[in-house]
Amino acid sequence: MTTVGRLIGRIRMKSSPERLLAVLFMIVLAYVVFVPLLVMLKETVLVHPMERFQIPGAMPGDFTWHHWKTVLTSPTLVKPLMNSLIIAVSLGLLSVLVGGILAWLVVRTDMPFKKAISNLAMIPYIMPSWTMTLAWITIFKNQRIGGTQGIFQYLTGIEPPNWLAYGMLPIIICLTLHYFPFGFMLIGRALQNIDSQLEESAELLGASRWQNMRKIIFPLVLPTIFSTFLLTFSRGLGTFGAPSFLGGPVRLYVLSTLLHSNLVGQRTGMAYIIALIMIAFGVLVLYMDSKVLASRRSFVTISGKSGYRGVTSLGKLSKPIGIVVLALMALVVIVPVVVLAIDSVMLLPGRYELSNFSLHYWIGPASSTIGLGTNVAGVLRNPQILEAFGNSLKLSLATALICGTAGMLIGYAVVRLRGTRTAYLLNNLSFVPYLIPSIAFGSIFLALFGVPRGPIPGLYGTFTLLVLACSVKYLPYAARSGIGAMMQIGPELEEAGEMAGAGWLQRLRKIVFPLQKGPFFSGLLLPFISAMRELSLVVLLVAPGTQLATTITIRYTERGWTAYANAVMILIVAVVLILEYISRRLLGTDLAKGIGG
Amino acid sequence: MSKIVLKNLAKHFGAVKAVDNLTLEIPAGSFTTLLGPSGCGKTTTLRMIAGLETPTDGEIWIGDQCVFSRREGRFVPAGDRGLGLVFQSYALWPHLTVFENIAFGLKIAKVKKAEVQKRVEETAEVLQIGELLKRYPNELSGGQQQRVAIARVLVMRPQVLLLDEPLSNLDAKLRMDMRAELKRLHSEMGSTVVYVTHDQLEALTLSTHVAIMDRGTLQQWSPSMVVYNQPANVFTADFIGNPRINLVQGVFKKEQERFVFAAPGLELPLDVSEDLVRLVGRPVTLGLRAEDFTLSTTPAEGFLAAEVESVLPAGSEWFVRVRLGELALMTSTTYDPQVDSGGTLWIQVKPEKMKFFDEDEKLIIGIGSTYGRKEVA
Repeated sequence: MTTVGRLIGRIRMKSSPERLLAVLFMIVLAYVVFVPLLVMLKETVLVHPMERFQIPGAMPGDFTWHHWKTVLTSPTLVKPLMNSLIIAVSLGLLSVLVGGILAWLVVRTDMPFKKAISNLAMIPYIMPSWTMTLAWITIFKNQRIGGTQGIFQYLTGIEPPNWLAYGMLPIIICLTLHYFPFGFMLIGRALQNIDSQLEESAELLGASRWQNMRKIIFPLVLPTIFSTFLLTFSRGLGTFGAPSFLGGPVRLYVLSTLLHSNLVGQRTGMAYIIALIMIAFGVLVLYMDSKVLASRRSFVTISGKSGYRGVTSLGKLSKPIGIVVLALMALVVIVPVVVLAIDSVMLLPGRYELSNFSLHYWIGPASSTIGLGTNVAGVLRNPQILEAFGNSLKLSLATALICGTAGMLIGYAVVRLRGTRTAYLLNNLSFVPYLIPSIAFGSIFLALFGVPRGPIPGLYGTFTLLVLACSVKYLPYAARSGIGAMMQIGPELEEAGEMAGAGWLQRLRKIVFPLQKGPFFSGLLLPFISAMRELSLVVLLVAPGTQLATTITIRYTERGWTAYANAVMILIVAVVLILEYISRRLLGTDLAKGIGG
Repeated sequence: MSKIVLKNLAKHFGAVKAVDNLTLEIPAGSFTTLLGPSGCGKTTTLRMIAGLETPTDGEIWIGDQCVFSRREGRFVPAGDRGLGLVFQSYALWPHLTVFENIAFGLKIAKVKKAEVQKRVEETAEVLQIGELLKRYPNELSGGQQQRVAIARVLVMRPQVLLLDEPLSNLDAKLRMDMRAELKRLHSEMGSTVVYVTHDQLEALTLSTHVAIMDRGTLQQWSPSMVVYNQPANVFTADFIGNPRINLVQGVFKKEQERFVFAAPGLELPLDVSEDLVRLVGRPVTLGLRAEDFTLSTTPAEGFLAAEVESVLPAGSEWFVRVRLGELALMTSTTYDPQVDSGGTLWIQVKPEKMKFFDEDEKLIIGIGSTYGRKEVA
């Protein structure tokens, strides 16, 4: 045997396609997650051009501790940090509370309308996170900050106080209304997965329903509750829309909005310190969650053999509770959409009368005399907005395809290498983007691809950058669903092909792909919807040529032209909901399966 | 028809030695079973032969071809080894019809369409699944799926047929039928069969040769009936046979020119050759199968009185658990012992059936008249 032949033999023994795939993905993930961290660290100790005058005698590019000193010695960051933490903790607690109660009612009681309620409960999560926020402003805005009255004031004549119109309270409420489905879904699934035999045994030993609940069910669900808290906490920390719209008018800053204003103001050093703080929180959450998960694995068992599930009877209250819950869910879903719709057809803001009805902001021409005199055409004939909308669709499609494919391949590699360190590493690495707060993730990509680096050209302002950022950010969903799907086909199916002499590509084409067609297409849905409604992640990355439907609403809101912003929101919500409906009908997808891992 | 040679084969998963230093020559045309409890390395061995698992060390030869050698850096991919593997779960492709499943390998090998048609139909005929060709796997019963899985492999006319616990998913009745079927196929095809199972009865009924493994190492390699009558060590003795063999710990003693095996509750005079004198005073283990006893309902010369603990009728035979002092023994008889729990039976050990094991080495000690001095490799 020749030396070359021997070498090839050696390589063949050690390497397999799944291993190559895994290594490839690990390199890419490490590059897009860890390299930027170093870049950001470096940027925090450099003088930036705009800061020459704040740091006496320094030239751009010089080394400086200025940013870190400022952060550590002055209180500029303390207040926003506290605000962020208050919001995140409240959001975590409320999501667990609202979602948990709802989950318990649906899974463990005889409340009627379960199906309708659980379908409705997922919709707030599908809608953009700040739909609720814009609706809130439309209803409760006051005139102290300028502008027109809201629906509440129009109807009652009472001007809402600042604490109700803006700031902490509405931010927390709006975010909770958006994220509680998370708690509902995660806790609901945990409740469903509890082996009913565990309860039956307790019951046979004489435990009452309530004792069963307190001593068996609650302890078993506790890790999930904690995990839900952590996940929503991290979302609350990274969210940008709600604090930006509701905090701005009363000068309430949180980490994400501070990060944004620092970056816009070209105070890059400060901005990246904030991003690093947020990432540190993300890593902490990941660490704590993995601890919780490790403990959970040890005692939650899924058997599902017995159809019986402990259902608590609500007695006479069952029907009234069902009706109230159903009504509340409908309210949460319908009110914001209706409010936004009404606002978008009012010619002059603040006057909610039939005589004021107009489709001007939808289909009117650019005019400086009609209504607000914006000199901007209606949403449906405004080339700028339509282009942004087209960009959003393109972005969503590209992201979904990339995510779907990458997710399947990661799933393939992880499942085939199950039990190895490589699989463990890849699995965890693919989950990291999930826990880095969105806006910090955006700034990572800005740091990484803002300027040319090695063979990779500067991508700032390009569409590619948006696709890249979204693809990596949503990869965790895709990887989760890919792993789940691949688990369904045992390795023997492929090994049988290998025995028959089929090469790796042949096996993928003839065996794996045909079997994964369904999961693949349904796996596209979540990344698509996520990209369609994304704001926090892309707000730092868009440029005039790459405006998205979501980011353009900010520009209109900032100018006080809420009718346009609200009309665009309605369009986004419509696209997302229609898509969800179609894919549920056609592919039988269930979004609830993909969320939260 | 090819022989298979494994030389110092090893597979380590980290610190775990799934298979360690396994050397085995499987004769061409044999029906060889790899037998052992779960986790003993039998399936890993099969998968290494198949080429689905890369050994950590050693060599594998199929016929005259070396298909794996760590030292030479040689690795022939699974598809090029001329083997067929039937999986425990059958691994039928659910998106393909029975015909397409069977034809898959032929199509990969770019066999002409007419030829594919002919060979698939022939093979389906042999396995009596000719009417099922248009169906999908989920429309078949377990037994039918099993036949399709075998057809898919046989259609490639493999030199060696590997079967990984193929019958474990079938119910007891079907399993018996399929055993007969596999034996028929083996004699018709004449190819070498390597069969993995944890079911000792299956191993004994099907195979010509048995390799018993435990914790990654080979315990015994012999023709199938030999493993039952001449277990190489305590593990093999304990693993083969149902009910389990009685293992009695005791010592060798010499009393008044007579050799005696003495255990609490049991003392057996022995007739052994002189060179076993070295073992006097040493602890040994005596292995006795349930049928190695003669039972009597009345007292007789050389019989020991035993208290009956339970009687288990099994149709063609009766199992009787008796107590001799501290010793509990499982015995069997082919006639009704006509006794209940708490009663008394008289038992005698058949001297030619005694199997002695050295306490440390676990190797059989040549002893007793029939098996006297026979060392089993």
